[in-house]
Amino acid sequence: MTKPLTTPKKKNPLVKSEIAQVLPAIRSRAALAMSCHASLGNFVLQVCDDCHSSTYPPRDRCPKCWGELKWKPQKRVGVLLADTTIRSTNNLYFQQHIPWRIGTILLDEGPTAFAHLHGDIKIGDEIVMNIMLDRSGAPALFALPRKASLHMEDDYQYRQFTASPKNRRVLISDGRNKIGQALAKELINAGAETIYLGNSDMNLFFDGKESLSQNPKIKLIPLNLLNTESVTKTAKQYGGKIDLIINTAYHVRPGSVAFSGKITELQNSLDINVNALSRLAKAFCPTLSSRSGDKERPAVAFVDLVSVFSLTGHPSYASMSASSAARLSLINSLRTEMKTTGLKVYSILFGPIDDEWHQEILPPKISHKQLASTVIESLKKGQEISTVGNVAKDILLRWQLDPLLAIKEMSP
Amino acid sequence: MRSTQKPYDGVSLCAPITVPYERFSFETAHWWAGEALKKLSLETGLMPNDFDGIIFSSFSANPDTAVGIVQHLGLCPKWMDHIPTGGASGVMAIRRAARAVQAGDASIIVCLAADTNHIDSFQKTLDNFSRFSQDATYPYGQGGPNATFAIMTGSYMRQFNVSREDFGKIAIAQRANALSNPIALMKKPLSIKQYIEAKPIADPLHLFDCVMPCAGAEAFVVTTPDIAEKLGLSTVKIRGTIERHNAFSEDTIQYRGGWAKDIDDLWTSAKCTPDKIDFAQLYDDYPLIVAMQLEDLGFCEKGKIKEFINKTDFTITGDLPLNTNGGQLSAGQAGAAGGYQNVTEALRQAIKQPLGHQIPNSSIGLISGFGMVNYDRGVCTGAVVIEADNIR
Ligand SMILES: [Zn+2]
Repeated sequence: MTKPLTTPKKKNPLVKSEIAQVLPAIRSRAALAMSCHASLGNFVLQVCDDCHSSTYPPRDRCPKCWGELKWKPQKRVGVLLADTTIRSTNNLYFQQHIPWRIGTILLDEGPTAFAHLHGDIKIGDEIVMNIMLDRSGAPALFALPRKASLHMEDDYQYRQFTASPKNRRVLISDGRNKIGQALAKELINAGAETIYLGNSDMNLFFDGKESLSQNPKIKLIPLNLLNTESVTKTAKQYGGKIDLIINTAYHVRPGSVAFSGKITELQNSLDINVNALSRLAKAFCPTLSSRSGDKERPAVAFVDLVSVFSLTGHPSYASMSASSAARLSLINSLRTEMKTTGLKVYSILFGPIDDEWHQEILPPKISHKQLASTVIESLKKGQEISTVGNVAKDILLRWQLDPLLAIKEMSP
Repeated sequence: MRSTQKPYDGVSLCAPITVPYERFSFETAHWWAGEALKKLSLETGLMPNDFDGIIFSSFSANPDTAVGIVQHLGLCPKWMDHIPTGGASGVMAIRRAARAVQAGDASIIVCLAADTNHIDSFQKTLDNFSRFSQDATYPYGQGGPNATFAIMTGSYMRQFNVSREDFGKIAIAQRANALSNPIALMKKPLSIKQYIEAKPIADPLHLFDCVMPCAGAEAFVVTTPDIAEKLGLSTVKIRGTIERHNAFSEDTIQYRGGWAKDIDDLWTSAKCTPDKIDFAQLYDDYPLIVAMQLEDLGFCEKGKIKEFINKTDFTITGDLPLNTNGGQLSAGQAGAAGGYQNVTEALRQAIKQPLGHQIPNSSIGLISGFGMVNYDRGVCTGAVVIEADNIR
């Protein structure tokens, strides 16, 4: 049974932090396609159009009949046939992590596969198969025990593939808004060690400030996302103590492109949704990525919360959608940029929130708590892209099937 | 769709060459290939234009293949082949060259394997080894095939009740054989205690279960008996051969190789049985693979390996002399040359020009190859039964 994590040791300031070694990301195009499914948390294998047999490792034609292959969701069930614990390796990434255990899994669907193993699994055990993304974003099979145990997420090998908030020091970029506040509470419930809550104006009172200030794990720090100097200064002071950044910058105003909405709102929206992300990334990502391989306290991820309308646009929230689209594009570029540094980049796509800015939109809408829980869940599972609420789920699905049709279907 | 193998009449194997291995070398595969040809030339008098055929095998000659080597080393062959199958390449080279000579497509073929070992070349070979290993093996902790063989070894030990001590007996016998080989990289005797207590690599494999990568080159000549006689070279005949790739892909974890599919063909065409074999040079990247070959080539039944290992003496003077140069486990693994050293050592024993001690009776020998852990198992297998012919 997995032992619960203990509090990390205090860092000796004389010991240099390490940059994470990442595996060379040389993969086939088919494996790259597999990683796209993995980023959404799906378990897929290639299945033949003609003979319907499933295959692994990723191929370009069926080895049984040479038919075309398609990625399809498959049962996650398998059995551990054999294992080994690697104690010596030439691979620089695994040198940082040995001993490391892998094994051969016989999947219910037929193929066998090497997989990283959760510590609770023994030979002969039934397992639940997952496709995780490693530190370079490449797909990696990971076998979890069929029956979850209390501290399952604390498993050392599993934690290399997740960004579970337990024991982490987290920066929430905008702590004054409701999203940031809900997240702070959920993160503490999930075992985060410290929450640094960005506060754009330390002198200005905001709703919820008092209850936040009472929690010793929450620290309000000056961080004005609209001001480059402020972000740089805070990064210098706190960057070395932060393992996980969650960008909660949020700007929504109703308004269309032609008939309603002001140009200043579009400008504000771009500043908050786009420029703020850029300021945060420039100030914090270099510092965080230099600690991504730290033994005790690695910096693990940058998380961004963005409207699902970034994918399709929304006629009645045109400025917000446009700036969100730019924000999503920045995040996609950042994710690729961070591949060699071992810092993971997460996107949380949310639908309309039940707040004062979405009164014109019909339900279903999501609560702040729902949004915060999804963030925690995706960090715990290591899932790069998640949706919050049925609207977001539905739009992403339609966008995946046919992006142009999904845009056409958006109604005011 | 089965055909009987036609005999290898009119084909001679001769002139085995081994360039002494080095643990690390800053020279290139091309240099090592040239060194093997130089030695071959000194031994036979043959010059670049005398060879009308060449087969080349290497992991570290990138971006060159056989054609690059041909131009680099000034050959002008009318027949050429590149065999990129590592541990199976020597056996496959014999088969291809023999038929080319028999058919008259070429008359003097040099079979050549060369690999260097820079400090970082093992890693480079791994990075580019195969697509499946890039996607599905290499990202699973494996700085090489050790973990794959560890999984196979552990599974085989459980399935057939084999212990580390049993595998140790193979490694120790090969080390004893290596002690008379002046160019073996491992020069000290190995005890069972040292074998068991060696540095763990990947459970259940420890250091002496794994080969040591090194630089080296191997070569031999395939020609007609007449030409060999004119050159004054001792010759060896081919009695029968087999080859198979991607056999038993339905096995979830490899416990047998392609030999098991073709074993009857081998002994039928060689007109021979395992008990008539005087010595065996079996591919030995790990003791497990030696054990698998002993079973699959008919020396003992599948599952009876424990008893067979324990009742058999594998040393040069024993009842089944095995890997008499020490094999790769004790002499070193020079990349693709590791798939040729079993051939050159077999030829040397048969023509009584060994590097180390001579096997007392060395008329009929078995050479076996195993190569390419493309993903989770070795894909290529092959074997050759040879017999000493003219000793000059
Ligand atoms: Zn098919």
